[in-house]
Amino acid sequence: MQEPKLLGSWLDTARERAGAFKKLLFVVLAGLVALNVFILPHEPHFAPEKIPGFWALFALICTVIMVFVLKKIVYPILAQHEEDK
Amino acid sequence: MTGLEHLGIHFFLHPAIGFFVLALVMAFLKNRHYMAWRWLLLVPPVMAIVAVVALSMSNTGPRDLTTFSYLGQTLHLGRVDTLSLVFAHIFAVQSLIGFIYALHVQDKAQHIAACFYIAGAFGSVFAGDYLTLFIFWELMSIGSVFLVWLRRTPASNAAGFRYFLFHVFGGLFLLGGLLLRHGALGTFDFTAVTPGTAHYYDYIILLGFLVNVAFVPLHAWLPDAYPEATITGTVFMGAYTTKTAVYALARGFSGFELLAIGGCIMCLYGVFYATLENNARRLLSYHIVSQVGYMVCGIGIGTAMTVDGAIAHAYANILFKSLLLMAVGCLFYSAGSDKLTELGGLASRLPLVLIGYMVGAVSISGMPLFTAFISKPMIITGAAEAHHPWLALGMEIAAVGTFLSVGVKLPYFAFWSKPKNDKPLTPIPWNMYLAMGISSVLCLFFGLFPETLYKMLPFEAEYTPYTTWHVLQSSLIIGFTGLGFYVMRRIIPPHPSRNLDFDFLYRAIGRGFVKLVSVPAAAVDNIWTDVYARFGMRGLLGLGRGTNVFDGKVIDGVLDGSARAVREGGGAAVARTQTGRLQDYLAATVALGLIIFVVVWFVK
Repeated sequence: MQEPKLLGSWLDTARERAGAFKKLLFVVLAGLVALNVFILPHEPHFAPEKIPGFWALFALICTVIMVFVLKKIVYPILAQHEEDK
Repeated sequence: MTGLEHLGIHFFLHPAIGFFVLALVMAFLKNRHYMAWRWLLLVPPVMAIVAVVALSMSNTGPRDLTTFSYLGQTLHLGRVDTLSLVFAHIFAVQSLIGFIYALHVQDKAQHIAACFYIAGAFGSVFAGDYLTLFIFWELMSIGSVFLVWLRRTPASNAAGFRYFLFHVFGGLFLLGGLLLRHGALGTFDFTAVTPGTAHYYDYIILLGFLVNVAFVPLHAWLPDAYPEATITGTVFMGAYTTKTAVYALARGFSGFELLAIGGCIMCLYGVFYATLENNARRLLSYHIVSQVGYMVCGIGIGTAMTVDGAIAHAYANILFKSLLLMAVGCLFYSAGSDKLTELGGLASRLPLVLIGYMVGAVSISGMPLFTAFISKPMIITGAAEAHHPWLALGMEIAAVGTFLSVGVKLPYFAFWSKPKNDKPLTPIPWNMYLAMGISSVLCLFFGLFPETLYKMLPFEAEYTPYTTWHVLQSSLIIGFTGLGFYVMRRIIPPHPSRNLDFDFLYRAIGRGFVKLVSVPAAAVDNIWTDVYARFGMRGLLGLGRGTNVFDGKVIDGVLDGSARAVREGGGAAVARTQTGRLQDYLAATVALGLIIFVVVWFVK
């Protein structure tokens, strides 16, 4: 079956405008944190949830630590040649 | 729809029957006529959907619809209640999606294997006793291992054997446990056990279940074998084995703390390995371990909210995980590789595959409007409310890792990371798009209308997914995980490698066992060769001269005659069955077993 070419060319254009999408992402993220100032859980499951931006920081820090530890420390220990095992 | 509910009351059509009949019919069909017989593949799934909907509509509470005596035991084939029905419901829907996805496959053996596999899954969820469960449990193992072997590569052969050996190991624990339990209690009834009253035989049965649920460290068969299966086989396997085991745990072992902690470890272990993985199908396999971890954790915590959440997540997971495996399967089919380092720049050439994949990706990540948003937070919220904040936190970290690998890393390196890819692509059959389309619509449907799923759940826990806070929290986690990926974009690119996991341990055990047997055997053989050369040879030469006369005059005459008889009789046919391939003997054993089963059924 043929994939739609129009959609494909739109995605090509989108790829070329990656910079604009990046800016849009930053604006959206800032907007979400701004909303978090006003919207907080009524019954927080964790005490720090009451602090605006907690989950944003949680996700960012978790991602950075996870990628760094796994790729820089764990991966060199575990990696084998694809055909070795 | 009037009438369907009466059908469910008066006539129980076991959903497995259609798949057995189809497997039998397919045995007599030829691969080259597949354009004609392929439509038959859709009949058992449609029958299964009708049967399950009919049972759901005839709301008469738990019931035991089919029993029959076999070898002095009563087998309960039709235990129907809300728990079995919700699993049967999604199994039936997924069987239709899976067979639509596989509609272009001309190799009937793959379809027969899938039929046995799905029949085994249905048989397991409707089994009212451990003996029936064990029979169908093993049938699933056999059906699924052929989905690996039938890819017919050296790697799939080896992975299939490891997969099968591990499942035999798990099956033996289940068998041992159920026999010991029968010895102690005098019954095979498959009923719930509480942690306080569990005996050693219950834990042995639990161990059998834990193998199939891919409980760390018994999980390594899954990321080892699933990426080596056929493209369509992986889609089937992603749906049934682990989810049937989740059903068995929900039925029998709710509230075990071991499961709560182990499930959380599974969540994290799966996402950690997925972060390192280069093979797209293996990456998603690690995410099966992770997502099933949520379910195991929910069952282990054991409150109405967490168990309902686990079941809802099993339902949702079958939909979005099969969608992800289908999309990655399309990539593999079209581009000829499932390794991220060999893909990239495909977004504009496979936009529909990209859309299908992304629907699955945002669904698994718990984005509002999509399925996991209505199921995964039930488990996390339930864990926090049941005073397990650390388990809830572990599952939140795993949620971050899920979006990182499945939502950003895989699509970025498969579709975007390089300039437009100009390698030749194989056109993808229409049926693969259709199957992805159906899954995508269902992922969105259950995300938009959560009540349709919630009303199928057994414990009717109260949970409202669409609150302002839930939507914002989920958006914050997803959005800032994306930012984290951007920050770490120079470190995260995958590399071609195979990462050490626990399968390394059982490969080493296997190699050790072979050495243990072969080294002493070789030593004995060497000594025997020396003894034979010194003492045996001279005597044997003299004896040989004497027997030569007898051999030439008598034996040759007899042997020539019998050889001619064998050649002209059925010898050639017998020789054809002696292929020396364990796969063939296993298939023959299953076929013979089923024939005996059917004969006994009818004779009785």
